[in-house]
Amino acid sequence: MKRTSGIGLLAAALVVAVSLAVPAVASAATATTTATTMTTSVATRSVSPTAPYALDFTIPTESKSGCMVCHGDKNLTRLKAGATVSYFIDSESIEKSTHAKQFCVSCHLDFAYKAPHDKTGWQDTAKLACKNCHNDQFLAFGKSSHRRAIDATGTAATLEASKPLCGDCHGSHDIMRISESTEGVAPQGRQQLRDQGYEVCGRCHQDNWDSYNDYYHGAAYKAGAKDAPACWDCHGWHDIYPSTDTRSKVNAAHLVETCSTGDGCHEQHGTASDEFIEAAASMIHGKQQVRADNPLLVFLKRITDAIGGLFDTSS
Amino acid sequence: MSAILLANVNVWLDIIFVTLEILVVIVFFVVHVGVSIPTGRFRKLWIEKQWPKHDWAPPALPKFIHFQHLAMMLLLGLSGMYIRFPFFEGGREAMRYVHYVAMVIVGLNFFWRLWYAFFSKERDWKEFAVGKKDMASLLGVAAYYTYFSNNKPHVAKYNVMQKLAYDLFGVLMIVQGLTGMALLTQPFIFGTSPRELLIGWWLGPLVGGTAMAGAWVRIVHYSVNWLFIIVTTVHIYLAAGIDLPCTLDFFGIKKLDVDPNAYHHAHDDEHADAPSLSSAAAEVD
Repeated sequence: MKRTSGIGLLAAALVVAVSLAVPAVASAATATTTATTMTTSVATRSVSPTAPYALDFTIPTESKSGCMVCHGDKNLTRLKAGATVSYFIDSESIEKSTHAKQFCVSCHLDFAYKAPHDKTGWQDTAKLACKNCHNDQFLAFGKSSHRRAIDATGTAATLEASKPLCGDCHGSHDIMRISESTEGVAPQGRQQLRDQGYEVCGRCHQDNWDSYNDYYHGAAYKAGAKDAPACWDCHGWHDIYPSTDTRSKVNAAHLVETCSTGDGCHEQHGTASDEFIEAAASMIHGKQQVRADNPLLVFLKRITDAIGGLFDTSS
Repeated sequence: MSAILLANVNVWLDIIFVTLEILVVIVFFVVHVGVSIPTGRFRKLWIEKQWPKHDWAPPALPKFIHFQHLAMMLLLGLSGMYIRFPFFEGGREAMRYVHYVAMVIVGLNFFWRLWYAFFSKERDWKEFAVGKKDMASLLGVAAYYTYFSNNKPHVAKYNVMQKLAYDLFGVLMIVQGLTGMALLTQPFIFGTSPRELLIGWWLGPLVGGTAMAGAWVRIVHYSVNWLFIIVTTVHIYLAAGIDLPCTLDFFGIKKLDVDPNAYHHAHDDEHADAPSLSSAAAEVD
């Protein structure tokens, strides 16, 4: 009996506490949405991978915190074409990036203020938004072999669509500063790009990435050597052209200049002769083929394959 | 032309030297050990423990220099191979420093050993000098090691093949030191670089510039590195396999038994039956 009355008192206290707390939470939620000028129906929000979600953006938001109300949630995922796609944005990486002071809508220019804000091509818009501030780089990029032809049709159009936009190489929310800042902050972005050589160039130019494995350039770069060149140190970046194009930094006409003017490369005392550059450059992407053509290596490989075949029980 | 040549030469050298090292390991550690079993040498050494006798023990200083030299050469080989074939991530800078530091120590060590050989109280340079008697014994020594003969000519503390091998190490050290210096392009010698000073002025014009000369010298440096590895492989096999007690003494693991009367004959005698080791030479390969 005593115990029952105890439980009853506890339940009563709980009811009172909840009844007091709910209006307080509701009031706080209202205050938040007002402050961010975004009317959000929290009750209907869903982070389920399958269920649709509904947000009511009746008033545009220019505030990052407004977007991060949803996109700061690690569980913000959707099921797309059988795959779970995350829409979570790590606010910490944004804060560390060189664009920390930019609004989300500075790049997501075509953000649809409705829910779900699906819009075809929003990624392309975001990846190209860089041009609004980095005009010189965009103009150089616009002349390069990565420029997309807008009048292509059919399979050519597909090929054109596969060409990279700014964001494909530079990334998105975590872009670090590449140039020296006025405060003398070290450009972490250069190392960030160097660490992502495969993602920047290799994933599209797989053959070139694979063949970049000579002793002192490719193999060293892939093993993290700081003084070994990344792809763009030789090939250039925004104004990149095929090596057959005379405008290319790695065209035969410019090789000596390219190899001689890098940071601590072959400029030492002007010793990099035409003959040396030709010899060394041909090895940079050519060693793999030379190895593949080596008769002794081919012979040894056949022997090891034959020996391996003796123990192969799969067939 | 030179473009294709440079790439091909580098790739050929990688393949040839790796193949050669594998062959050397097989020839010595498999074939030579294998043949030592039916000829009875293996039994006498490893089962009956009839190791070569010594009327001397290696002095402390050469042992210390040898140990230091071995450690630094291992570091040089490891770091040098890493610079060419980076087999783990992020080590290039550290490996370069290791290479430079080990190079300086090995260089100082080399001069220290030269001083010991020519100017110290013990001055043992004659032990490494190859004379007419040594050359005359060359075929006999080679026949002994290849099992064509059981008689090992003994004319000095070290046999002629040991002397040639140790002298070769010295020559290779000099070549490796010079070619290694010639790879340095930093202008720290009165505004010019070791590369310019050593090869730029004479080899450069012959092969198409100082940088091209550097590329060829790097090939020599790399090849000599492999020669060190191959000769050292043989050296390790013969030292541990033919005279383990002396090797253990050399590394301070177990003191060598010294018999002052081990040799009661003149050094120009021939051993009647070397494998019996009743009068075996103090051979340390």
